[in-house]
Amino acid sequence: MIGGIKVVDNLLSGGKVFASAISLLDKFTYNEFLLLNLLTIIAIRNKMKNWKRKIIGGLCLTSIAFVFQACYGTPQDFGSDLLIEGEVKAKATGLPIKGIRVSIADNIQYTNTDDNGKFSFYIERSRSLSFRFSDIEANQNSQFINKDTLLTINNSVLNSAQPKVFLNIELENK
Amino acid sequence: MVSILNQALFRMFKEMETKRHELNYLFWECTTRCNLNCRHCGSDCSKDSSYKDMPLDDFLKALDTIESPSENFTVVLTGGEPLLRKDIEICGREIRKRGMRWSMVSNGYLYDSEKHISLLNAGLGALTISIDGLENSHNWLRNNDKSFERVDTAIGLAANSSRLNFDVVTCVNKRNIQELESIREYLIKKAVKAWRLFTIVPIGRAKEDDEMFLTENQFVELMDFISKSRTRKDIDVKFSCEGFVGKYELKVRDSYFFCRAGINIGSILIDGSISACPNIDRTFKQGNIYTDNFFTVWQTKYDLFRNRSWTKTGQCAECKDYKNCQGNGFHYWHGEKKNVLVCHNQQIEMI
Repeated sequence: MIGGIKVVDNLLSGGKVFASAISLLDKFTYNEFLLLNLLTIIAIRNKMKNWKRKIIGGLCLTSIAFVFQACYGTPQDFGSDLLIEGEVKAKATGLPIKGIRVSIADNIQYTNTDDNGKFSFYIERSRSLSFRFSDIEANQNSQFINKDTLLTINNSVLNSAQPKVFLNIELENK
Repeated sequence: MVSILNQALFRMFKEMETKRHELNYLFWECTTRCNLNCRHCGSDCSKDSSYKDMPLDDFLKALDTIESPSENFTVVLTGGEPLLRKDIEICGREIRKRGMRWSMVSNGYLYDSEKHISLLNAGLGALTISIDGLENSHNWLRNNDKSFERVDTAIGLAANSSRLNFDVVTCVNKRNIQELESIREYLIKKAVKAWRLFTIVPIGRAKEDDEMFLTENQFVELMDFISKSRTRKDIDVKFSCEGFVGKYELKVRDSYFFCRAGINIGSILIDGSISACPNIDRTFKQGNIYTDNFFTVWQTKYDLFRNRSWTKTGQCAECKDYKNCQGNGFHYWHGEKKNVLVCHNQQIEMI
């Protein structure tokens, strides 16, 4: 019935309900069609309940009725960040480099690559980010040349619920 | 007239929210160890808690029972002092891996630049830090001479992060009530955008200390201070949602009073107990993650939280404002539960 649920969603979001319903008759058995109708009614009822809730919440002049914090808790987080993950390797050997500092222009945050040359951190969501990869442990590593990279993030990534970007970086030896 | 209609609509809204009881705010009492020994502590926390920190895996198993977490679902790490946990960043990252968000309540003592960065890196999204006065009165309440200096650093770091949804909270008492204007100016200078004020609940260590509690006149003074401060644009000052404040409703906060404990707010406490806000009397626990499925408990229990008619007792029994107040904040029901511990509205009406 997963297909059926998708159809219900389509029915609710599209306008051609009648035409869709007629075409469905060919695709489902009679029992499935009855179940589909039931699901449609439930979905419409749920949607209407949510509208009613939003209308009433809005009408009582509490625009923040849906945003709250527990009295001894924190404000809610609206998730305006982005997960940056990546791997830093030596261009010459292809081997991962540990201890490379990954930082962003005009941002207090930074992180370092681990033993596998990997890094991962959340930063504030932004369309364009200017990264710097610096060899802060030049004595231990092979003295790599610092690298600056400008990352432009497209809308589909930025607007997703859990935006994530993976960077593959190669550093050249000095 | 408009106000009466609004309140009636808000009651309808509360009923709908209660029926829906969507979990979108989960406290995790991840430790009861604390590096301070505050005079007003409701949990009697200390350095040597009798409980060990809850293992992360135990918490995650409970978290994983939540089917389709709501939009903006947030796990709020609280304590004790959460920063005493060495694995706090790992905890945060594990929560984020599950598509959920996390935030933290801290006394700020251990919140330095390095910690600030590592927490942001781990996906911290919201933070509350408490400051209870200017230097002398804060240090007095916190029982620690360096406490103000440390929290000052923490506030500076957090307030300057555009990523964090950050606010400062203050427990108003007899010592700091005269400092509220100076605290507000201090916070504005530190670039703090939001400030929440509380009174102190007469439980735990605070119970026997009269200096913790405002007189009726002082409470009204507090309401007037908040109400006046809310006309300013440079900082959002509000009274916490701890209780119903009658004629000051909407003058001291953005919304009418609505205690969402057990309606939208759940908790997993240090011993695995399943409840609502951590300051609620522990006899209200609804289950335990070590024996029950957390989400099943959330979906099927919490009757006392979702039907509060039992609070129509003691002084609430004949109260004309009961329909809007419904027994004040849930955390004001302790012990025998025969009467509410504090009635804010009564304090206002006595003046």
